[in-house]
Amino acid sequence: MEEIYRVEAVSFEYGGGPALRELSFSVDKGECLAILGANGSGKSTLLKLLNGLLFPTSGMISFTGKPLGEEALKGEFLRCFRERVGFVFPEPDVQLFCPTVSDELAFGPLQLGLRYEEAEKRAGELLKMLGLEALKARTPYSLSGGEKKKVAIASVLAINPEVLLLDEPTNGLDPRTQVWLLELLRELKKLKKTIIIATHDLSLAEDLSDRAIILDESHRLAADSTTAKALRDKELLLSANIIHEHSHRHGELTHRHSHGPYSTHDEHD
Amino acid sequence: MHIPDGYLSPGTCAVFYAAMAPVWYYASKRAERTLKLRQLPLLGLGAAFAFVIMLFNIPIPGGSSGHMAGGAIVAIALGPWAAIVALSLTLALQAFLFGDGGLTTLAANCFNMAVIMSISGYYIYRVLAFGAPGPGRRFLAAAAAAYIAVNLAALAVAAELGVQPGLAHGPDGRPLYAPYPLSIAVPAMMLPHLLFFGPIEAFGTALVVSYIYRMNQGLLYEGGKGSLRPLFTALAILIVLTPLGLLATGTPWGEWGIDELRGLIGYVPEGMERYGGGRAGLFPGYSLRGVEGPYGAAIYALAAFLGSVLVVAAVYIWGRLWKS
Amino acid sequence: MKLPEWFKKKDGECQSGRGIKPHGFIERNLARFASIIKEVFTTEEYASRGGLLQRLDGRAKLTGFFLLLAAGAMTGSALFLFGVLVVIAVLASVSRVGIAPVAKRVFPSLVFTFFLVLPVTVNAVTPGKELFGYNGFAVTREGLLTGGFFLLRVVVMLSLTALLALTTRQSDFFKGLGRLIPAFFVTALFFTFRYAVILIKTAEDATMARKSRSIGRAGVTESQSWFASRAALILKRSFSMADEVNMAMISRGFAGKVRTPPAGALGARDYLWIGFSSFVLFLSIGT
Repeated sequence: MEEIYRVEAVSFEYGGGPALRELSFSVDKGECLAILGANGSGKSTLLKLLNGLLFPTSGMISFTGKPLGEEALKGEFLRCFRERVGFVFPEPDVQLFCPTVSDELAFGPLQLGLRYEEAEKRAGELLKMLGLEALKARTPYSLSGGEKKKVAIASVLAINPEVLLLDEPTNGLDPRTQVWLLELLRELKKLKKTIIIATHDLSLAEDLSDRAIILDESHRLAADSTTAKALRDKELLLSANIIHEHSHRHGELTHRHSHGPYSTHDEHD
Repeated sequence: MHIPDGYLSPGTCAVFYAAMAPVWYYASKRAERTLKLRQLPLLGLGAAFAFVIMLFNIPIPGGSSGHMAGGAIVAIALGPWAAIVALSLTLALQAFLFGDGGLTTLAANCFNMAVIMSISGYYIYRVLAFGAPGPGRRFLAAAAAAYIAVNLAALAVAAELGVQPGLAHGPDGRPLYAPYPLSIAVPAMMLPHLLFFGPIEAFGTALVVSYIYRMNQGLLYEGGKGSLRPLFTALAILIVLTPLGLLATGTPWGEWGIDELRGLIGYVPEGMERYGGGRAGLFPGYSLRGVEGPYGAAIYALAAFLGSVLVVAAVYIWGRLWKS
Repeated sequence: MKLPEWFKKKDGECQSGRGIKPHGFIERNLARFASIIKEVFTTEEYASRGGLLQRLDGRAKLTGFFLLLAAGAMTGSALFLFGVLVVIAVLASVSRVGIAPVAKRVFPSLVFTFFLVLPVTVNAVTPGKELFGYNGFAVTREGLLTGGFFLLRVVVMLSLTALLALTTRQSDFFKGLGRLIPAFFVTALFFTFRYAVILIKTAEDATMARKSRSIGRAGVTESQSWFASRAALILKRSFSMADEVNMAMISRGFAGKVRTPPAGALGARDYLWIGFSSFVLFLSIGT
């Protein structure tokens, strides 16, 4: 298997304190990886490091064998890297900064030096595929939350990246849009795209990813295993504060069991 | 404080556009350097912040409330050069989309509210809050900076409006633009600013700056170490020049005509002088008022028509060249 | 989880003070935010109607309006200004906007200017032939002419910008402007617009949150510190958003210079419009 990312003993600090401590793992081509962790565990920071937007305070990240440092990420390698890796931000508003939806889709390809005709063709085909043609001339601020998310994802897909990084993709989406997103990601997975999702939506991870890594609240790697195995390990999920125990009633039966924020129940104790 | 369209003569507007173009260019380069690649979104968001701040009503004692111009806050937060660009963007947005302030007067408005307010507000604050000020001095420094800055800006507006009757009037001497001379414009503009808007600006700025400082001082702009030096140079030059200026001011405040202006600042901007006559047209020499008789109007209209055909041809050719 | 005792009060029982008026400046702030947002959307609605001006290319339309504004600024003739006003009225109706929305936008500045020019009509400011008055105060013919002419010019200029704003979709406006002045400024201007709308929403939410919690008239000091904390919140949010937006741009290949799609060719309609507006400009020079 071709290795896409190798993360070696990576730590990252913001002004205030550590956001990530001593992470090491690697990602192969075509893999679908979920990064699980509570709010503030460093998931978003890790994705930004993987996208070359931030650089590790210590340790090293390499992309297809080349180091991903501030020095190395320049010129041809930078252009190539930006073309191969796409990043969907958690808040679509920060990602929609063009006057119209079709401009938004053409933005990435144009910045990467594609001809306008080609960029426009891609934008048109994506809008058709995602059923967004009616939104073509709309301004981003007039879209609904779900539409914004769709356009934000489409704007990244327009670059046609091999590696897709998604930060909390299901946050704030209604159930129908969540299903839409899941189907889209499944299709992309079939095309052997590498997909890395940071989320605390356990059902999304369960439905989609083969492998999961878990960041605990001390910002360390708590687990790296298959998704099924990670989600069965209740002690681990509890300690990483991804699920919590509480009690409630089902009909006449009161019981205690553990719960993730979005997921349906796991099997009752 | 936004000057609407129609208040300033075309000559004045042109002078301000000519003066602001290099300032905008230089400020955007400076901002680019101090803000690195972050600049573009930061400028836009700084401008958006200024836009929202100007919308806020600030309660003042006595149950009343008023708006701020916000220039000093933005300058203290972003640094003076980025603030010039950001505030100009805010003013442009207000002029284009919301009809606050004119399009022809945009450069003049930017000069008053973006340049004068940011530069004076920022440097007064830096000078008064030198070293490691306590919360009290910081509050007062921000208040004083904002108060002086907003009044300087108001004074600039008053001066721009007040020179209009002298600069442009019809053949019968009637003012064609803002009709009040300096002797009326200056007090009318300054009194409310000294007494009402100045305190609002001062209070609002001081509150926000000291709040930000308490909560998260990383948000405030910290200039480089040497960044006060140009200010002191400028001040030194001003101190040397002030006696000269006083000597030149022979007429009482508020009665400057174009000659006094020449005496006061040493020269009259070329554009001002050109339009300083009785007419306000852009090409006074080109004026066809010489054409008389029954066909005069027709000949004139024909000339105008030919002129516009030339314009269209030029645009067409330019468009073709642009494409290839 | 155990709720405190005072949570269990009876329904329909209000213990807070009565007869206190809602808080003035909060209401004013909310009204202001709402009106700005509303204006953005209603403008967009007019601009999407398929009228004459809406169909023009952004560059041509902006250029033409600048020429018309220059004409309005330069002329010394009231007759000419009336002519332009008629042209504006015709353009407004053939663009399916109508005169009322234009008038509505012009009105506030017009009222301001009206009161501003009142003093110029009296003899103390403008000496001349006295028409009527008493006790030494009189309205002069020259004063009325000066004030009236100034007011007329301001109406014309304001109506022009109002018509431009009402017939231009925001996206076309920014695209058109991007061909006329450096792209750096236009992109930054677009960001300003885009994120002002979002920050206004933040400000509105903050104000609503306060409104829903405030019952009585809070003290001035308390209101002021509320304002300071909200302003700081909005500033903080604009900084963190600027950071994120920048990353989102870099992530999609932005490297310091925005590349925009090439401009299409101007059509016959656009050339006619530029021709017409430059004709008006040339006419203004001699009048």
